[in-house]
Amino acid sequence: MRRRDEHGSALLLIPATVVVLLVLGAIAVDSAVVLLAERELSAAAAAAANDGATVGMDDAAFYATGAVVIDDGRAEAAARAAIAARRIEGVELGRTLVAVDGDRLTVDLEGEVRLIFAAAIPGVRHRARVRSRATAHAEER
Amino acid sequence: MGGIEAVALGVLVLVVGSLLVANAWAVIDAKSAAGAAAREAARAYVEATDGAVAVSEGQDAADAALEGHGRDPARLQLRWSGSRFARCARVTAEARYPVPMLVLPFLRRGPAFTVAARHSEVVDPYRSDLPGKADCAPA
Repeated sequence: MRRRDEHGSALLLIPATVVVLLVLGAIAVDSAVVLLAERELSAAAAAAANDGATVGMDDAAFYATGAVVIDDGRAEAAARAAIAARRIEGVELGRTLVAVDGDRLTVDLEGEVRLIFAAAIPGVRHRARVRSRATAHAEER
Repeated sequence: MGGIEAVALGVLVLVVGSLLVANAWAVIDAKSAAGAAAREAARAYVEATDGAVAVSEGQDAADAALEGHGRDPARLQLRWSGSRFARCARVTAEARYPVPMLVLPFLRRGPAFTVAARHSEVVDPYRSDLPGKADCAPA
């Protein structure tokens, strides 16, 4: 049985419900920011690895022995040039590793992305770490 | 009587909060579309049959990528840098797309926020039908 003085008390839940909904929306947006940054980093790593493996192919070694080998210096320079030309927006690039192993080139990128809504909440991490790795394989076709 | 204020506050928070979240989401979505457009443009450029059609093929690819994301290609601004169609040449496509901000319904137009994305590719040094040597060594 409801008492008269309880009338309308459910209305007080409306602002609280709305806030909960908005917080969930904000979490979804921040998660999308991280996902987007991961995709950007992944595309940048793939493009850099692809460029590095293409440009870095050691022609002299190929014509001398028939083996497909990647020249470390040229490949790394090409991969780093690809990353620099891309100027990844929204991600503060940290560690960039380019490793060559025979006919394989691996690009490892790490960075931090600034969250939109979490940045407004004190005591919560305002940045998220993102990482991506891509490997390109040079082969004769 | 206290309930009316709660409803008013709830509606206010909902409207303002929803606009905030929707705007943030629109920017993220447009950024994703611009990234795809830049990627496709650069890819189409370096794979074009010759230099005369490379830019137009890049533009077509970017338009198609934007349409695929449900965006209007007419608003896309595509910029090229280092666009020399030769072996080992690096080309960078920059896609810029304005995202109008959602504002309160009675205000028709809001300011636009432009998102940009870039993608860079190298013209394959070993591809056929291109002049020059397949030598990408730095000068």
